[in-house]
Amino acid sequence: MIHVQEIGKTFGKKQVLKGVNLTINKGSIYGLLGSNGAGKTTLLKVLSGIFKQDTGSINIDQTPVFEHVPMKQRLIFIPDQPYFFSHYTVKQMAEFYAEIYPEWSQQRFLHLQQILNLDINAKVHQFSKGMQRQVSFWLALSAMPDYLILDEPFDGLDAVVRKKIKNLMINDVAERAMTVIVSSHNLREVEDICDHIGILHHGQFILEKELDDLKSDIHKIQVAFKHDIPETLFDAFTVLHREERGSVHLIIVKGDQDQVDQVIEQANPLVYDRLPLTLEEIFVYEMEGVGYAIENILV
Amino acid sequence: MRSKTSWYNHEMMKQNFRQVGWISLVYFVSILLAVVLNVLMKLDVEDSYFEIYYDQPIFQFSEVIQVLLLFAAPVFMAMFILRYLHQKDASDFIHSLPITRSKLFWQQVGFGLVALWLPIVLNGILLGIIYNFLDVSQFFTINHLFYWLSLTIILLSFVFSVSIVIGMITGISIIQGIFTYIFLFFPVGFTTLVIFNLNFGMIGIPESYFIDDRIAHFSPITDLGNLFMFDKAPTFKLVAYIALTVILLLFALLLYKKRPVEAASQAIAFKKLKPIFIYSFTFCFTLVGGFYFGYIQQSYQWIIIGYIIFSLIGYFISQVIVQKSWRVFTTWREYGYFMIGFTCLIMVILFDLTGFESRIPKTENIESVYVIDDMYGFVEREQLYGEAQGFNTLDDIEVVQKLHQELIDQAGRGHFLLHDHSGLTLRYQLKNGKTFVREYYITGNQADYPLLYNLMQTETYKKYSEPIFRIDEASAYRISFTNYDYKELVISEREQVVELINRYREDRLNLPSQEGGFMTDMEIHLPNQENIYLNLTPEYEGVISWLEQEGLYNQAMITIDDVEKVIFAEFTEDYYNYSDQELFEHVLPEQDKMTITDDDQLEVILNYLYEEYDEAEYMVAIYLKGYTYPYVFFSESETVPSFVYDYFN
Repeated sequence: MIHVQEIGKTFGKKQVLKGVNLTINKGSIYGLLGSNGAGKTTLLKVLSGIFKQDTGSINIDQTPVFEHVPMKQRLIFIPDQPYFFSHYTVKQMAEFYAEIYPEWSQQRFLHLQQILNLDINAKVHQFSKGMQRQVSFWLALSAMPDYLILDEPFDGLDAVVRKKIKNLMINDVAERAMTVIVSSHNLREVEDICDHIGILHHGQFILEKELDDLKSDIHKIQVAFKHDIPETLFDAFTVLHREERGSVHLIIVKGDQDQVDQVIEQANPLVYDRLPLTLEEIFVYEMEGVGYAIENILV
Repeated sequence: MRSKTSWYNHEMMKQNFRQVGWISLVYFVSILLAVVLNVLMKLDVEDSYFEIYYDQPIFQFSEVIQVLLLFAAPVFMAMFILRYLHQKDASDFIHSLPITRSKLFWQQVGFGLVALWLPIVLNGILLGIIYNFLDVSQFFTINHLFYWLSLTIILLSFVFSVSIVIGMITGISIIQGIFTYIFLFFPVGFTTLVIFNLNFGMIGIPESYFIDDRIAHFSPITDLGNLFMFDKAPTFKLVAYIALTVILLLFALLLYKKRPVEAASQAIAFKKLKPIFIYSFTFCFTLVGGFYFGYIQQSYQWIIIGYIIFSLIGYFISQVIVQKSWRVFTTWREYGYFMIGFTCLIMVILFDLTGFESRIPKTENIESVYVIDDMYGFVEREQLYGEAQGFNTLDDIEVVQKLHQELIDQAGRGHFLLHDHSGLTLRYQLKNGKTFVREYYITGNQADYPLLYNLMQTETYKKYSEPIFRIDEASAYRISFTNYDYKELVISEREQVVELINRYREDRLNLPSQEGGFMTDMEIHLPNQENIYLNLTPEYEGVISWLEQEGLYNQAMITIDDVEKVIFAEFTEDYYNYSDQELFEHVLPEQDKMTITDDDQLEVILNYLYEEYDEAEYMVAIYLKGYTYPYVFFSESETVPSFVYDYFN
């Protein structure tokens, strides 16, 4: 379990993280969303023990990460641009990882080679961007980490590679209860794999949710009445968005599904529809509710 | 399975080898060619002429290459071994690995050191093999080899550790390289700048006392000449370098632990150092401005202008470095602070708020005092012969204090820049064991300072400032008299030598301070010491009478019997354009020359003429019998005999 408390980090005069709190359960995949410059990479690097936070604390399984070798042996960070020593082949990089990470599994490494079908004697730098990304996953997964921290792992990859990498990752989460934190500026890229989502904006979380909660919690309602809509109809719920199209009201509300149904039925509407929401729509409305326009925060 | 808890990472070492192995290789091959092969080549050349300049001859082989590599190899090594700190992606990667910073640090530094030592050790072994199988005794001994090996290793490690510290402070490799050299040179350069600039402000600051000799020891770059001397490099210096290396490395480790990883590619890794860097860089540049304009223009206004211009340049450069941008014209606040601070500093110094300039030690605190007109010679004499007695009677001390006050009153800022000045140092030995030193610049003749002139005629002054009083007469083994290669007399009988020295001493005490005599030089030969050169003129009655008494006078001195003629002429610039012979025989018209052959007049000339360089008014050409070339020297109107003066006026 990752437990982050009130983390602050300043670069020069710019405060990049302003009191971030975060809890991530073991075996979950956490999607860290935010626009460029929101502080995602910094937060990930702090989590990985690369940067040291100015204030606050980070504990992974009750252990601080920074300069803690046994903890770091169980954690791998893959940056947005994977790094390899210059002129190293995949095999040489693998030897390096094998020595550094005690849980390294040569068997896994060879097994993954069959799946990825990359030449282990080729120099990594001669690979394409997508292949390099695959190599970084290949090496990381062979080291059998308990925690995998990924910065923009799907950025600029084609659909096939993206799919392949996601499968590899999900596989480990399912089999070994690996914990994954994955950052992205694009919700659609991660919505299919994450079970938790957090949106970071200007160094602070403006939203943190479990995805299942989200989906059962927010409802898009179309409703029409013969007369005016009863004033007190939605008093029991939070209204995130509201618009009128003639006599039809389009309302986004937060609340228990059954309760919403019940309340509206009682008011005797002419028309009543509850429509499904895409995850993106949910975010758009959620964030409107807290005063942000999603276009400014996520692509 | 391999042990996971080993103290080093095999794979990291492999990576290091790939990254910096070439430096070792280049270094090894260079030394192999420059030194080892050079020795073999010299051996091959029969009766090759090889002179040992240093006591440490191995440094003589391709010295320039050795010195360049001595300072280039460790800096390159440090730059590449810490390269991972200065590249953002590499830095993130390495620091995400489960290795602690201390372990990383010692692995990298250890690898770098070994990679520097190996080329030298291997070449040392090769030289050792050559030493064992071939006769290289004319080049070096086994001690020389060990000294070469250890000194090279010590200096390599020291320069490397300086560079490692700089590498921790900065996030840019090129800055690491440049600033390593700046810091290596810094102690010497900064002291010189400060002393030079203080000379404007703090009248009386003893420049030569600080700078001469000592300052070069502050940096291995300027001290290299001394270090190469096998005998002269004191062990404590080598031990100091080793200790400094260890301290620097520990300091670097401390910095590394505090260093934020995100500092990669930033000019200065630590936030707190940025203002310190900006202010000190600007300060140094300001001093350079003072130095430059002071040296070139030698005027007060220009020095101030120099301060302003160079402080601006320094401030600009430091901001450009820190911000890594040319567009730094918006930040002037720190410059403002700097100028306020610098102005305050100037005020403190100019208005002498510390009382530095007006301070004269109180009589009751003074043990003794020296008045020194050649500090360099004085220090040298002290090193050679030990301490001599200074002025210690109440009367003398009071005279020195009066002189001191006079010097303070007439001293002007910038006097030290004048070309015709001479330094005068007052060195007080205080009763509390401390030394109080002031140096002033006087222009013109010492005779213009009656107090000084009188002090210089005292027995005390002569005894501590003339080497003749300092030597052990019993150990002198020879005295030779030479004059213009015309005659030579050598006295080597011990009793006669001692007698002559004692007579010369008596004469010295009776005569005014030494003036430029001419023709006859005395040289006293001493074992294991430098010889002493003395003038001999007819005024040295004791010596002269002894020579006459022993029947040696004609052998020692030039007499009228040796002189064919003497020609006087007024000084002309033509002197610089012609050879002496040409000038006197062909260039100068007859009416401008006075030729003397009369014995009485020659006698006067030989006995009373003095050499005077400062205000040459007359040229004197002495023609010795059997010589075609004249011996030419200068004199001024006051010292030429009256018949010469009358002739020309």
